[in-house]
Amino acid sequence: MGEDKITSGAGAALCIMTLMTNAYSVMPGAEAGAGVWISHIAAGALALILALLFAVLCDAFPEKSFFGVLEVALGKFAGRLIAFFLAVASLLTCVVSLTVFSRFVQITALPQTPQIIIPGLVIVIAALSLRCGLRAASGSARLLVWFSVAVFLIYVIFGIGRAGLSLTAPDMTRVEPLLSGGGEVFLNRFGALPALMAIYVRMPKKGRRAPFFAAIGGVAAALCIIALITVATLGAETARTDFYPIYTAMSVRGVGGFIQHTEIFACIAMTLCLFFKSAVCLAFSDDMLSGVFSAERRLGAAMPLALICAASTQLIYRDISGLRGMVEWKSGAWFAVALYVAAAILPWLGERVRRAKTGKAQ
Amino acid sequence: MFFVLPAVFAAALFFDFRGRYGREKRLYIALSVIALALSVLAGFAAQSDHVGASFSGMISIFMR
Repeated sequence: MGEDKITSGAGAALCIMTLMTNAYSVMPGAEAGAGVWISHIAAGALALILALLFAVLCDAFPEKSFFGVLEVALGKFAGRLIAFFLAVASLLTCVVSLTVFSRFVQITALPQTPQIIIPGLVIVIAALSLRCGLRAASGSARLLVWFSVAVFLIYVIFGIGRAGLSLTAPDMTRVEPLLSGGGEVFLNRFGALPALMAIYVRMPKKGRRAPFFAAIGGVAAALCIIALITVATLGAETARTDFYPIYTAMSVRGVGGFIQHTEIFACIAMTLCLFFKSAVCLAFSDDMLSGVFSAERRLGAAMPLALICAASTQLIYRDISGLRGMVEWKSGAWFAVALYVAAAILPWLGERVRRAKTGKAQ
Repeated sequence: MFFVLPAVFAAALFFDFRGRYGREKRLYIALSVIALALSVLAGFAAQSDHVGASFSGMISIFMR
């Protein structure tokens, strides 16, 4: 990892592209109804808090990898357990994103194409890009993030005319759907948060927090605005029942009379974001598993991890309602969120205890 | 027919494998075994009319 350094700007761009995956297709948390944007605010706030805990931990040991930090903070056994959990969680979130996107492409454009082709291609190319670490992906992200920004602006600016903001008034008498919706949003939109530490540790030590948090905060705000505009365009009921409501709302956009079918831009943006998310999740999981099994990482094991993800996209669901059940996983969402919170808090607490013991010994 | 996916995976892993040694090599082999096992399962899932893959469609693309 000594040679695999990326600039702060490229790291921030890579974070943005990773978190914006599937931003223009499914809308988790739609059970919250018109208040889904509140669920997005809750999920974004939780993401920022957990990112802060991870960042503080990494900054306490600037010369160590994220796995090394976990080992120092929690000890060998607990550190490896948490690292293994985070590696599996990153791969799972990558698989779900690949599956949602491939199903989306199959329904909208390529009904006769075997579903494994698209996720297989995307993730294998992502694995090949990791041969020179994250530098290739981060350099590309720095350029392509502006395309994603343009698609976002098209969605918001050219959708305002069709939006009825009165439709977004939440029902504050029922708080539970807002909170459970927040859990779904966190898992679907910020499930790759721990994987972003693969980016953070490769950024320059000085001044990396500001761009890192600006990227996460910016994406959280953008996702909230996308949810708000979607409900304002389609209404809460349609947004809840449609599996791809954001894409549906995008397809009624146009830019004046000279750019039509702006949903195609959304498809391109999602493909690009999926590539970056795959690269980041593979790099992070490879880092973690190499540490867990004490394998010195020279060339990495990104390719078998990529193929595991590609094959898993065929196995994790039975039909479209099953896939939807995974995305809108109400019953288990809070348990999974609690695991993420524990994975962030425990190392931070472990480091505090270690520091207190070291201070007492002196 | 369902061996198409495992064959493609095996080829990709074979060409990517070179240059690794020690524990990294063993980790790579272990993950490759998992990937190949999952690819066989994915092939079975496709043959049992799983909505995900369509291997007969994939074969017809190669045969065109």
